[in-house]
This record gives sequence, C-alpha cells and structure tokens, in this order.
Amino acid sequence: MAKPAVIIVGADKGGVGKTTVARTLLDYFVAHQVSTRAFDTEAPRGTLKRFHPVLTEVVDMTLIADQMKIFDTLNSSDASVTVIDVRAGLMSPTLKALRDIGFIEAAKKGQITFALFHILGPSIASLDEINETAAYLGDAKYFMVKNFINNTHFFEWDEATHSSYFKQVKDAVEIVIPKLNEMATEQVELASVPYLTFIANKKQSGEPATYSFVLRGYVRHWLGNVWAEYDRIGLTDLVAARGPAPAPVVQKLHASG
Amino acid sequence: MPRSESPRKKTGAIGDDTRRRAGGNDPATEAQRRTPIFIVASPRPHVGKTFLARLLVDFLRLDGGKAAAFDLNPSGDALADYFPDLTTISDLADVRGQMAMFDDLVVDNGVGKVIDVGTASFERFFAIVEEIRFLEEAARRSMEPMILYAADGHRVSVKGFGELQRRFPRTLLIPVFNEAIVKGRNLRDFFPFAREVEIPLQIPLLEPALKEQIEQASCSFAELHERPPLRIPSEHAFELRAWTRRTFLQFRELELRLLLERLRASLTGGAA
Repeated sequence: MAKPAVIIVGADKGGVGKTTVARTLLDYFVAHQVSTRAFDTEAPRGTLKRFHPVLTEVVDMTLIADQMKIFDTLNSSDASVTVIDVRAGLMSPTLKALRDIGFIEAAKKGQITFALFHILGPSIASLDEINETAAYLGDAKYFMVKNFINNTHFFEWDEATHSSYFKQVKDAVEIVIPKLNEMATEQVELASVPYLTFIANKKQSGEPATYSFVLRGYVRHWLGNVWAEYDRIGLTDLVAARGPAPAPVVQKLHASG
Repeated sequence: MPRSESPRKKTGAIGDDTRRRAGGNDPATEAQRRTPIFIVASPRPHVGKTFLARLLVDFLRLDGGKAAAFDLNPSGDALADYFPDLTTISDLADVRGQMAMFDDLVVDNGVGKVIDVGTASFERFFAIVEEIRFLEEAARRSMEPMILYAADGHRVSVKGFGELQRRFPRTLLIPVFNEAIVKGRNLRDFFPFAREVEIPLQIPLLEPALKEQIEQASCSFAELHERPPLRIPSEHAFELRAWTRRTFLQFRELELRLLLERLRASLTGGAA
C-alpha cells in the first residue's frame, strides 16, 4: 500500500490562485483514479468546497481539533492523497504547526509523502515567502507554482533576483500554470463545478448542462496543459510512493492531538 | 445584385436532411446520417474562396433546401452579400464571437453549413479549431466536417495544405482546383491526398462574360441549375446551365464517394 501523501497548496499572499491550483489537482487525481480527499481552510465557507463538495471538508487550521481531523486520519482514511488548500496568511503558521507535531520529521523519515505547492505572486514579497517557507520544509517536495491565471502581466521580476531566491531551496521544482481566458474562468465559476465536470457538460448533480462548447474546449485545452506540468513532475508517481511501515511518527501525531 | 431564392428541393445530396427520411438501422441509412460542414479555406487571397462557398451554399439549397453560411471573409465580394438571410458574419477576435459561431456550428440540426474562411482569418480559425477540438466534436456528433482547400500554385498555398494535413490528419482535406485560378497547370502532385474521397475537385472555367451575366441577372447557381431565368440571354443561359451542372456534378461525386466510404465502413464495422 502506498504511504499517505499530503499536498499543501498555499501562499501567504492572497489572490494568487491557490484554490484554482487545488481544483486542478483534485481533477487530476480523480482522472487518474487516485483516491483523494481535500480540506479547505477558508472556514466557515470554503471556495474549494463549493467546487468539490463531495471530496472537500472545510476546516479551521488554527484549531487543534481540526488539525487532528486531518493528520490523525492519514492512515485510516480511504483516501491515499490529502490535498489541503491553505488560505492566505496561514501557510507559514501551518508549516510551523506541522513541524511542531512531528509531521515534517515523519516526512523526512519517509513515512509520509509531503509536497508543498507554493503559489507565487507577482511581487517581491512573494519571493521573500520562499525563504520563510524553505526553513520548514525538510525533505518535502517543494513546487514553486507560477500561476498566470489571475494576471497576464505576471512575473516581471528581474531574472537574477528570481534565480537567487529560487536556488536557495534545494531540489525545488518550478511549475507554470498557464492562463485560462476570462470568459471561460467566469463561466466555470458560475457553474460551480469541477473543471472536469464543466468539460463533460454536466451540472454538479450530474444532469446534462448547456455550457458553451467553445468554453468547454478552452477549459479542456488549458487543463490539459496544467496536467502536462503535473505529468512532467511525476505527480502520480510521487503520491504512489511506498514507505516503511508501521509509522511511529504518525502515532506521535496522534499523541499530539 | 445576387439574391438568395429558395429553389425547389430534391433528394439524395450531402446536405439532405436525412433525419426526415431515416428509414431504420440498415447500413445504407446509417451511412447517410451526416450533416456536412464545408470549411472553405486558403492562406492565399484571391483564389476563389467566396466563389466556391457560394457554389456550395447553392448546392446545399438545391438538394436539401436548407443551408447556413458563416462569413469570416466579409471584405470585398462577401458571402453575406449573396445570401444575406442565410449568412452569419462572424468575428473570431474575441471569445464571444467564437462562441457565437462555433456553438452554433456544432449543433447538428440537419442543416448543411458552409464557412468562408478569409485569408486574414486562416491561422486564427484553425488555431481555435485545433484548441477546442471542433472537428473531433463535430464528427462525434455525426456531422461531416471537411476542408475544401482553394488551391493555387503558390508555395504558401502548397505549404498551407501540408500544414493542415499534418494538423488534422483525420479530417477530410480536399483540394479544389478552380480553372480560373490554376489556369491549366497540373497541381495534383503538390496537393497529395491519402483517401479516395479526397480526390481533388475541379471547378471548370467560367468565362468572365458569363460570370458577369450571373451578377447582372441577380440569379443564383441553384436557379441556373434548375431553369435559367428569362432575363439571361438564351445564348448564355445554356452555357451557364451546363457549367453549373458540371460544377455541381463535382460536389455530387464527392457526396457519392463519401457515401461509399461510409457504407464500406459500416459494413465492415470500421470507422469512416
């Protein structure tokens, strides 16, 4: 059996498209038949929950009870992958909490697969987040995501500056999320369905919908490009990795609750 | 001024509304259930795209009674001028314009469709088609999209044809040699085809004087095919009628080749 995998999607800055990336990840795993669950930390009402109501539970990451809900169930859950959409401002505190409860250490020992999708914003402040984040990561897979979906004039950083930050994190991998045209983005928002459901021209209930063929085509093309990035980084292999059993540090996680 | 009269209906053409006369699940009937979408295109200007599109619209109206045209080539001698009631002037510049055209095109309502893709729209049109997978979706919905490529001897034309072959290998791509454009040159070797159904079409030369007669008399090719109007002098009327019939015969033969290909596929259980 594959060891549990936790993917955190986060950024300290808001409005950089964290939930968009989390949605593409959930669609990706659904399409690859990887059992997945998701936690939306935008309590009390989560955006991710609106698009993926069946897979997603809204939690408050500042509450220990909710942290237990996520991390104490990693082995007992039917889902092999846990995606956590961390709301703006909570990424560093979340990583700190993970370190404190021994989760980072467990990942280091190979008992848990841990990946961080750090969604970078266009400002230099976003680069500063890298430094702060890297300090917590240990051996986690660190993906720096350049998300173009919210801004076409993105990443006008000086290349040398960018590189200097980027190189500070060992084995960091860059992912580029291309832009989806505004109208398609807006229509999927209005439909409040996963991208895959929109492409299949269905409503959340599974009934046939009447979405534009053109927009569905654009969404399919865009999602294909996003998934090509996930294929490139070997995401399915990453979450299917096997680990040593049992997992004493996960038991420690239980104890910490 | 050209007009868009509605000629009387015949049966058995590509554009015929086969659903109305569907007669069960026999292979022949199954093979006919496809609504054509003619994409008339070339990266080259002044190679007779709109003229070819006009002929196709009239051919569809002659046999099926229904046709819809989409004009992406609205400058100059525009399709919309000839068929104002049937033509939608389309604009691919923004997503709304694309939706207005493709969301309509992809609906199989049994009406044959003709798209006149102007030179300026050539790249954009096929980029969108490729991105949204329009051709695959149309085929999946039992329509028959095909590219009628208004060919000429220029290297841009030859290169453009090869590019379309590479990008859309499963779509019918049929070179059309208009004698008024190719002027007797044999271009077949420059426009190779893989399937029998893609045999190039030949549009016979229509003398400028005769073409002028059509414009002056404001009559359609469909009308000429049936019974040339009295306002055309008889010495021209017979010639025009013969020319139209020869031209429509090209389309009819294409239709028969398609039918035969589909019939073979349905009998052998393969996909056409």
